[in-house]
Amino acid sequence: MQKKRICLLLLATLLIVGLIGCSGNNTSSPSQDSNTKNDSNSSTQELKVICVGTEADSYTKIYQGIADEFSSNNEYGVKVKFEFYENEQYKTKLTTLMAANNVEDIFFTWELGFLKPFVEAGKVYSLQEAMDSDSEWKARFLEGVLEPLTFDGKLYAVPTQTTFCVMFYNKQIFEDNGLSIPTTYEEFLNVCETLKNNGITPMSLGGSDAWIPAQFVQQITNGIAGIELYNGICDGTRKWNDPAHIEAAKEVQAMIEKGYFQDGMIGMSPEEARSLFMNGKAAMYFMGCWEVSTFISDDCPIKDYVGAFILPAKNAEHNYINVGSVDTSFAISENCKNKEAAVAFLKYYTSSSAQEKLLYEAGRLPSTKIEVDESKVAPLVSEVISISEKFKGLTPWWDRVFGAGEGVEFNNTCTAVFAGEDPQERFDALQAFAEENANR
Amino acid sequence: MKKIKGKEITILFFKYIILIAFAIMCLYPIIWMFLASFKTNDELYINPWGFPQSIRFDNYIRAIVEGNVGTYYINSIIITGAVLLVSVCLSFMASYAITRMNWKYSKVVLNIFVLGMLIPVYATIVPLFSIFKTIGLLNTRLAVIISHIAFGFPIAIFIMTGFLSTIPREIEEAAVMEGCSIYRILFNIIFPISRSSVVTVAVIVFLNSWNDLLLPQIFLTDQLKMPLPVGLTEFQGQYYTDYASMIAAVVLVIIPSIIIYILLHKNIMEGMVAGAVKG
Amino acid sequence: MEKIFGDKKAILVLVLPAFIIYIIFVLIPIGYNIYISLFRTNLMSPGIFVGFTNYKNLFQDATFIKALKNNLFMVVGSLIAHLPLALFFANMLFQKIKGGNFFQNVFFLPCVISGVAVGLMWTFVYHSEFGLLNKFLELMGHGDLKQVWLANKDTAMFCIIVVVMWMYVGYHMVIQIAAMKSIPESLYEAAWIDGANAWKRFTCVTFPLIKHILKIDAVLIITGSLKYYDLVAIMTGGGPNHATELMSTYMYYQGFRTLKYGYSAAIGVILFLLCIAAVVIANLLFRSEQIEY
Repeated sequence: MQKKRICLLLLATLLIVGLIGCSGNNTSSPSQDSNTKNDSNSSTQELKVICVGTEADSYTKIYQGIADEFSSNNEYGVKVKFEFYENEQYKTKLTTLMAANNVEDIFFTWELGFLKPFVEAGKVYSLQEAMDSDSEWKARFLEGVLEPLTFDGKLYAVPTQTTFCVMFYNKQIFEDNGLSIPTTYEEFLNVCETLKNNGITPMSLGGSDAWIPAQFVQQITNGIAGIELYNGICDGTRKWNDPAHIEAAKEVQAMIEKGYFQDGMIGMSPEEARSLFMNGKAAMYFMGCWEVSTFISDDCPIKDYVGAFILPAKNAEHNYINVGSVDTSFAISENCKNKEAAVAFLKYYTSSSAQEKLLYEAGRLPSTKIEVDESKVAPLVSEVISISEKFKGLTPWWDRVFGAGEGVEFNNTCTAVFAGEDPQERFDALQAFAEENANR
Repeated sequence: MKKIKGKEITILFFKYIILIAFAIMCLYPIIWMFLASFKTNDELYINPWGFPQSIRFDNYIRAIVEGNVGTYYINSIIITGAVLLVSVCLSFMASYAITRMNWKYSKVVLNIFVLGMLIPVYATIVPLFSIFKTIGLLNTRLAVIISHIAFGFPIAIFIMTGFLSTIPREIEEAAVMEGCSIYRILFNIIFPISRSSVVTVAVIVFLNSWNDLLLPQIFLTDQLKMPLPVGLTEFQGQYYTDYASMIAAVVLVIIPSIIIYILLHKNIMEGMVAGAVKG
Repeated sequence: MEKIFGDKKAILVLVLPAFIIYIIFVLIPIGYNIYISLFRTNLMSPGIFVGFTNYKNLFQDATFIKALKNNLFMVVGSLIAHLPLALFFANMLFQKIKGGNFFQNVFFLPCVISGVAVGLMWTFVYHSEFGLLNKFLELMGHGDLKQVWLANKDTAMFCIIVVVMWMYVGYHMVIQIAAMKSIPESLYEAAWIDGANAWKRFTCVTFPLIKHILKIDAVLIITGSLKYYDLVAIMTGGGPNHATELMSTYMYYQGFRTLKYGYSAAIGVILFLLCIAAVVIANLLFRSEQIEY
């Protein structure tokens, strides 16, 4: 009897809640109406920015901080609000919003293959005019950063950061083993061999996320065939199963064979692999330079010993052709009701004050030319900046160039290579896939 | 009285071993989650399987405060509550009409409803998205509620019609003799008898709605309207995952399911008997 | 009497609300889905009519074939676990063992837990460094068998099927026990008097009389396995390298990542047809006459 009473009580509660829920929903109008409401003679309009990020990412507060600065003193009287979504969820959300023609205001985008379909469908507002009419703004940007976001001669998004892959290393371990930064590929292999022989895990890498093995393979490939291969694959004159890829894959497999990576690498998550490095259990860690902010924070046990260098190319003429690209680009939707204010916000985000904030507080490299105050940056950040000045070419990650489909399949192919499968077979399959995919 | 032979004892012994082993398999992961929710991220890697060093509610606090678990809870309750209420009522009414009333198309309608059990939900996401966009219900909880209700009908009607068809006609005939209208018969007489199948359906609908991940993710864009399953994915950062808080959040998510189960399991079993056996 | 139970207005009032909601939000969408599957579209611009090309391409798509195989693998695995295994437990518990109720409740518990939660739990169990499975193997002295379970393309799918089995064995077991309970005690007494042992009692009394329930159960299992999504999405996302790709995850990926909604819709239609086929096959396999007793 007691149980029955509890059941009834539960049901009653659910009933009441349900009623509230139903009535509550009738009064809450969908957000797409809020823009039109705000538009008409309202003094505080809101610009929404949808972006990737979650509570676990510290940069979200910095981005909103920049937005708040803009909100408090802009001539349009708008307030800018960031909305953050988890990575995978964001991709789904953006595509569904695009399909429903519901993207408001400003949205985060990756470059090249990700943005292209939206541009082609006419959903993105072209920034070319705004850029042309403001030569000062255009001149601020570093060379080449606007290209990946330009389609058919028109600019569609603005990059706010640049990023590239480096090999982070533990200075203490190197010192203890009498090692210095390798400048040639052979030296790099020697470093690994020495560490291995002294019982230290040379490299730590998280194999569970497919893009991580992929960026490593791409870096080695760059060192073998340089920017020519990258350009060739982009315009279709060279194929995925190019001998350079096979060679790179075999190099990587040789490294794995010799034990240069940690045990259990294949299934290890990036967090764990990074944790190994941060706890001094691995000497080197290959990753994008966004990771700098983790290594300079107080939570990092080896924060005073982290350094960075570029993985040397196997064929020396291709040195300093690195995996890297722009990062965190923002585009304006055609549905934006206040495009002028949105453009102004993008200009502010790429102004020196905002870019400096990103550099000093989040360790993110700017996409514009700014004067770096050495005293405000951590040594590791300085190291990374000086590395970036030596680059001769950047090759964006393949899954950004081609997006889902080929891009992701490249990642999968590299994971298979890391797992020991035959490179020739896998890259042939990738080529076959690329050809079929073009027809679907 | 059967004599208990030695061989039978051995068999019994083995039976118990198997049962207990499987019971441990069923319970341990849940117990493990519960214990793990009291550990810090580092402790998880260092000492994953033992007892936590201390009972700390940090993870829960982080989950609720930073992770917004409170908001997700309320959203889940609103969505699932509304779904339960409407779904159970409407499917009960429809099931009754299909089984107890005389009309030409009852079998056809029943088959149309049951056919829905074969339709994969995500095959309909894009069309549903378009429909909601046209009606203007995108990014409202109502969109999720309506979808859950609609997709709950097939199994609900399947079970309820199974049960209702076993009720003897005499009951209704007696009621008609006394001058009851069809609605009186339905709500005052049939409904009380059907409690167990109603509860079964309610539990199934509850579980499907409470645990659904896909539909809220697609239809809701506003973070503050998300229900729990979506909220759980929030703990995965762009490059890094906060496992400790995530586990605490997971525990918070499964507690209602377990409570409801503990309170109502007898009814669920009874309902299964009625619905599936006699269906 | 006829008037009351044939009252057209009442029938409409009772059935229409559910029926209308169902048509608008279930039937029309699936119809629209079939319609889109004949186009090549990214839904942002008008699509191009391509007829059955999407279907043709699907059957030449290595990844789709892999997903299909995985689904079938899951159907078979689920059938094995949830029919014979559940029957085994059901029969055991039906024999009035002490604590039978306790076991029933415990076995049923896993299926009430959210798929997301289960996925996370088992990801930890399968973890290569501190996972329960590997630690258990170590304890048993078989440390060499340790694997990176979910990242190894040979073991990943199998691991996922184990989780599905774990989740639903209890559920089906309860249904079967319920069915068994409806068999009159007298039949078992008669069998016992005739000298039948436990096995004979099961095959000649229990099994035939619950066959019709097993049929429904089989349909639920098969259609469930074909439609499965949550666990795979959480535990492996279809990886590594599509080793655990299911039709549902592939459909989601083709739609929401590569923006090939027409192609994605075609997968949905195939899924739907397979479910229908499953019902037909189950009906054939479990053909049983209603036994009167």
